[in-house]
Parts: sequence; C-alpha cells; structure tokens
Amino acid sequence: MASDTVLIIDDDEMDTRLVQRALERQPSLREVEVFHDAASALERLRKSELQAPLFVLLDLNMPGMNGFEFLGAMKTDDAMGLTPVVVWTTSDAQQDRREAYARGASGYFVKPSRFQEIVDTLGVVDTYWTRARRP
Amino acid sequence: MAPATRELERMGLALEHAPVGILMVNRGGVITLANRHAEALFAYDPGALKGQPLDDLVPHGLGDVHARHRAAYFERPVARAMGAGRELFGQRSDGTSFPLEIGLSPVPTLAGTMVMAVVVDITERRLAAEAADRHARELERVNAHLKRSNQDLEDFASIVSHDLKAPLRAIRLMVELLVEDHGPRLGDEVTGDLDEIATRAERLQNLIEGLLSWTRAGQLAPDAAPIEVAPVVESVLSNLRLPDGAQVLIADDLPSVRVDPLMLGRVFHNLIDNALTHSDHPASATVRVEGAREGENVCFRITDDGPGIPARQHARAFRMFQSLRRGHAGDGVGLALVRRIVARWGGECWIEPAPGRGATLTFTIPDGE
Repeated sequence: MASDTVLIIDDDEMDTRLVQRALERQPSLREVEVFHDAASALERLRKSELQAPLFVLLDLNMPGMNGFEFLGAMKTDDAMGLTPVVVWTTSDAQQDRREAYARGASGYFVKPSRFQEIVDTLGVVDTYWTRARRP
Repeated sequence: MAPATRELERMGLALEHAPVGILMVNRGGVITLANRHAEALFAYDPGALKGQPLDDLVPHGLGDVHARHRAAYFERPVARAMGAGRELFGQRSDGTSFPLEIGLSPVPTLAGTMVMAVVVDITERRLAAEAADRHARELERVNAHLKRSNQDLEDFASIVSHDLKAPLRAIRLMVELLVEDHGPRLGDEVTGDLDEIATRAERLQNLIEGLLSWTRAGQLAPDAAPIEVAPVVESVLSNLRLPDGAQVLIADDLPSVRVDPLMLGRVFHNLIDNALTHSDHPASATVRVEGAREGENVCFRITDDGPGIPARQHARAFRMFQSLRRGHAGDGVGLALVRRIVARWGGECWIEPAPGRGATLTFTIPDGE
C-alpha cells in the first residue's frame, strides 16, 4: 500500500463505483482499494507492511463490523491510528456525527446526491490530506 | 315513667327523622336508642334494634375486638371519628355487610354516660371512588399506549425515511451518470425519459424530506420570545418561487406570536405554497395573509382566489399524503405538517370557503401575551 492509495470501505457497490469514478477526475491519480466489509479492510491494514494509505473513506452502516466498530479498532492501534479516516455516509444524524468524531474520525460527509458534488467533495478531501501529509 | 327513660324518649323523638343513622349505646354495649334511618341501614323493623346488643351490628368475628374498643372508649370518651384510617363495616339483619363511617361522641344522661354513634352508609361513595379509580387507571393506560404509539410512529417514519433516501439517491445518481457518459448518443426520447425519472425521484426525495420534518415537528419545543410575523412571511415569500404575475398581500397589522419562527415560517410556506400550487390561474393568483387576536387565540387566515376545496374534502386535506386533485404537484405532506405544527402549539387549523371564490385556511395559536 502506498501513500497515494485511498481505501474505500462501503458495502454499497454503487457508492464505491461512484467514489472511484469521482477520484478518477481528480488532478492527482490515486490507487483505489475497495472493501465491501470493514473486517477485511482492518485485516488488510494490519497486515500491510508498506506505507499507510493517504486516507480511508468509511461508510458507517454496514453488515458485520460497522463503521464505528472499525473506527474504534483502528484508532486505538498504534500503527494504524495516524491514518486519517473520513466518514462517508447517508446518515445526517447528529449522534452519528458526534460518535464518529469521538471515535477519531478526521471528517464526516453526508454522501451527496449529485455526482458533481461527489467529485468536488472528494477533491477537497484529497487536496487537504495530500497537503497535510507533506513533510 | 322513670326520668331516665323519659329523657331517652325525648332524645329519640328529636333524632327520629335525622337523615343519618343514629345509635346510642350504654357502657354494657346495649342499644338504648336507634332512629329510623339507623334501623333502615341495618335492615331492622321499627323498634327492633332498641335493647339489642350492639355486637349484632358488627360483622362476625369482630365482636371481641369491638367490645375492647368500646370499653376503651368509655374510659376516655371524646368526640371523634371511629376507626380512623381503617375500613369499617356494618352487618345487616340478613347477615350481609356494608361499608360505613361512624362518628362517636359521649352523651351524659341521667342513666350515666352513653355513646352516640352517627352512622353513614358509604357504599355509594365507595363505588363512585372505585369507578373514578378505574377510570383514572384506564386513562393512564390509554395515555401510556398513546405515548408509545406516537414514539413508534416517529421511530418508524425516521427509519423508513432513511432507508428510502438511499435507493432514491442511487436512482438519481445513476441517471445522472448515464446522461453524462452517454448523453450525446442517447437521443432526445431517451434523454427525456431519463429526465422524467430524475424529476420523479427528486419529487419522491422531497416527499421523504417532508415526512421527516413532519415527524420532527412532533418534537418541537415552544419558543417563549414574542416575534413579529410579517418578516417571517416576507422571508417565506423570498424563498418561494412565485409564478410571474401572482401576488401575495400581507396585512399591515399581523399580531405578534410566541412560537419558533422557523416552524412558523414552515407553516406559512406550506399554506401559501398550497394556495398557489392549486390555483387554476397561477399567473394572476392573489393570496391574502391576514391575522388578528380573537379571544384567547391569535388567528391567521390565508385566503386564495383559486377553485376552492369542496366541503367534504376539508377534513381529508390535512391528512398525510392526501393530494386532493389528480395531476397536481402537491406532495401530500404540506398541510399535514401544518396541522401537526399548529397542534403542537395547542392551536387548530381548518378550511372554509372564501367569500366569492377560493378557500381560506385558518390556523390559531393560543395567545401567550
């Protein structure tokens, strides 16, 4: 895993496709790894001896391990804890937002209903974390 | 006749027709006087109680206890209610018993101190109290049930809304991607159809938003600060896309109210939007907004000059998802939301035919001034 990799964790295939396509429109090309369940994404991050991804885009509501559980497990791990996790969800509930931040999320976005908005939002996220990473 | 007997007889005459049961008992527990009401209470023939042991009137098994109480009373005779805090029962001549209340007072007579007992049958009172208790419990049960089903409804709507929003969003996005990727090759007909799908999906999305705000309106907290209404209506108008030529006239003297301005704006928005949406001549439609203090309420009236609403549909109009006219763009949430918000304030809303043509929608807010 290289630092120009973006990890997407979302059980909704359409959403992962949309995000992939939106990332393709960004000026800097990213390698995208898609996981449809959080547990295997966590496994993958643990095993990875290479560099952490640029950021993780995380859905909250998933069967099996949900987004909150994933955040809890990842953010309490010394090695993985520094990787930014950006929540990408349909939920606009205050308590979800609060809990996500409490568990260490770096950002919280309600999935936009327009493709162009997805492109724009991910552009901002990508630029922000690219700059934040720069030594 | 001995003076003591004469004395008792005179007392008996005086008390004979009192509307409560009166008994007099001597230290030995023998009834020396019983008025007509007392005889009737215990189901004895006239004159039959006099000379009987008082214990005959006490339910079986309590005779001993009662005798001790009586002895104690004669030691310290003061006027008081008998058996304070306990339930007392009397026994009729047929062996049945009934609840009663007894007041005791010592009476000095020529034959020594006697105790006068005023006896009231409280069967009716007891039954009434039991019935009131039952009603209160029933009311409590119904109330709890109502609260539960209201909560269920809110939970249900919120879950359904969230679950409906996701696939709708997917439909809109997929249509958008289709057009973006293949637009030029699709041809006008397909593009038009796709547009239609997107429009319908958008309408459905608005409807779900409406459903969500409707459930949330049930959780409003009333706002205590008085607010001017005209600015609220004006801001609503700036957000509404009025058809060219349509006008909304706001009266100068709208009274102030003490409610959440956001929710008040929502009410005016939905009512004015409703009036304009259903107009049969949108390009020259006129909607009037008026208000006044009336008794204990502030009343607001929104009057249009549209086709009106038939009387038989007045009640239905405020129900959820009832768009009364086929082919009209209403989502069926607007008026239901109005009713819910207004009810939350403790007010009411209704429809009346406007003088001439059109309809007047009135809502009231209890006057907090």
